[in-house]
Amino acid sequence: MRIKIKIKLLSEATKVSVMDAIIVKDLTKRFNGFTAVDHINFTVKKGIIYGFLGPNGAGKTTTLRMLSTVLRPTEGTAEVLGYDIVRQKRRVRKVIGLVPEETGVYDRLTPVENLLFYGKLWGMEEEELKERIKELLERLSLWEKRDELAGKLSKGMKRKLAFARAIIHNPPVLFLDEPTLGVDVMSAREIREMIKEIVREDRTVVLSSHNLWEVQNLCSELSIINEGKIIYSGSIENLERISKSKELEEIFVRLIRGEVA
Amino acid sequence: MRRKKMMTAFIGELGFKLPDNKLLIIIWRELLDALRDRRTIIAAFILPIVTIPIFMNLPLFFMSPTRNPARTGIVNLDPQAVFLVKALNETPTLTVFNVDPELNHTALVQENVYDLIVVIPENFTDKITGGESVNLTIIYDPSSMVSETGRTSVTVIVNEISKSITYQRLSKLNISKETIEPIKISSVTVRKVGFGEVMASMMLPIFVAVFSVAGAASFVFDSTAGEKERRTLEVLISSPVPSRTLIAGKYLSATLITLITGILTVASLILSMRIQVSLFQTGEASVTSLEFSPGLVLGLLASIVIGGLTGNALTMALGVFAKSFREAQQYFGALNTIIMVPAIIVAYLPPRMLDFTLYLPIASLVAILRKIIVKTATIPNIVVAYGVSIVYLTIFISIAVRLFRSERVLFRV
Repeated sequence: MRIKIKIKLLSEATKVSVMDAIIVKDLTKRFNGFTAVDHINFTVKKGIIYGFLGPNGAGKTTTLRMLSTVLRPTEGTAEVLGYDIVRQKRRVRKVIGLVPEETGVYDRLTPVENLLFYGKLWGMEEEELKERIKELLERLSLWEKRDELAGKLSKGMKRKLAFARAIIHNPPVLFLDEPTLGVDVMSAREIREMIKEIVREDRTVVLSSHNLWEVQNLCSELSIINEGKIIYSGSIENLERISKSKELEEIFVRLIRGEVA
Repeated sequence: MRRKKMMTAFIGELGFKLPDNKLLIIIWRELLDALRDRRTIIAAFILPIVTIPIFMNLPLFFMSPTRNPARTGIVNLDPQAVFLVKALNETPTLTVFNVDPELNHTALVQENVYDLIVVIPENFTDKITGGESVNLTIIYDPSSMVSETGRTSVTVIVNEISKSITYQRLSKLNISKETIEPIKISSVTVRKVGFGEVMASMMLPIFVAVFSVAGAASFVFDSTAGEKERRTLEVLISSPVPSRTLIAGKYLSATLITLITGILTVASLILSMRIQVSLFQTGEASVTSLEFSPGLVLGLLASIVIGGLTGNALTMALGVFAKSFREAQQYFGALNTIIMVPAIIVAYLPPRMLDFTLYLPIASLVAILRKIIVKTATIPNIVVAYGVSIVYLTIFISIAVRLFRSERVLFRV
């Protein structure tokens, strides 16, 4: 039985009335002289799935880490639901959920304990948290494994658990770094279905992925980053139109090679 | 199956109840994780309970002269010397065997057939009765503790017999004992310190120092460097909990573990020392077990708590800096040399040299505990030792916090 997830926007988020969920301005990150992200600019509208594409080492993970306030920008800034990622870190953290490239689940805790811990850190009420944990674990087919230590779960199950952890507190903005990496077909489908449900509730998802088919099917807009610089930002339809192709993989390769202006 | 049932019972029908306070939630997670980590269980709980009694008592058990008497061969070339053989036979620290005079006695001791051999020469009794001096030979192995102890036992018995013969000879000549003992020694103790206190002053402070610093080290490294290595830290620091609360939760969890380890260490040491005292307790030896005065109990608790806080602050700084659990352990090896070696040396320093060591990290706790146990600690000593430790722990904890707030350190590869 599929249980529809109740969506409850955090009060913090509802106070901010903006059309754009994320505004990135000249965001730059340097590590010991190496520029990982170089003055990037893009805007993510509220209530959409936004793709973030690029080859390995292009700066995708660094950008997501800056947007989720884990890393501090060297220059420039960004706003998430109107909150500045440098000056209002804690407010930003309250309204986001993060699935990093590595799942980051606690192996010596059970799925319930993992979710319980993070739900409590986000200040959720006990009753609400109980319901939410049950709902998410059932929805992601993890309920049967609720009392197993997470370290014993398969890679796909861990990734689903990381996804559940990221959305446990119903964040209005979700950053997903390769959410279906190493996940079996059925589990990947479950995650994609949930991402679609999330945006139907007017929440925003930023999705970094190597899976171009996934990006083309889920996202309405995207940015493509290469060597720390944004080389395309806009709708997928526009990208298909200017590159005169329907194959995102082909467009992506041509963009990286500089064959599309 | 049983475990699963326990887990289900714990969670029930999701009937858990946890505090809302973020710090307590972090401590709950850290301790739950620690209790399921074999390395922490072994280092913090099993090592003090199991290893201290074993390491302290097993060697002593084998060295105990009453439990492991010296195998003493007697080469008796005088059949009349029954009184001496009887005296040696009745000594509980010796097991006596008759040895053939024709055998190679040195070889028998070298090959450990006997721990020592006593050669009673011909005409031994006649010479004594005739008022002459006679030579008794003991063949022993100085590299063997049992052989050395056996030699001491034989020497003590022979000296007693020799003394008794001397008195009999003097009596026949109407000469008083005092004629050959012109000076007698009277010792006056300045404080009542028994064997238990002396032993405790050397051993207890070292164990308290070692387990304060190292007891929770495995847990701290897992909670800091381990979290970096397993990539759980990234999600944790993206939560709306200030980094000071995160590190405080980790630090307080480690301190709780150290406190339990410290109490187990002291309990285990007391038990071990009580066994030791009973092993060494022989005849007239003035042996008293360690007396636990309120001052000593307070000193022990203060040393465990402050030692734990200092040690954990130090290991936390190392753990936050290290990229992995393994790297943190390597730094810890170097730390042991720099901090623990002086602390161990302090346990054996002459009392007059203890005062300057009150200013060294961790070593100060060893020094003050030694002083408390042998009842020489003064109020200024106590203030200096614990005050200095608090200064060190403040320095170490601020380093750990600074490192934890540095993204260069947290994300260094």
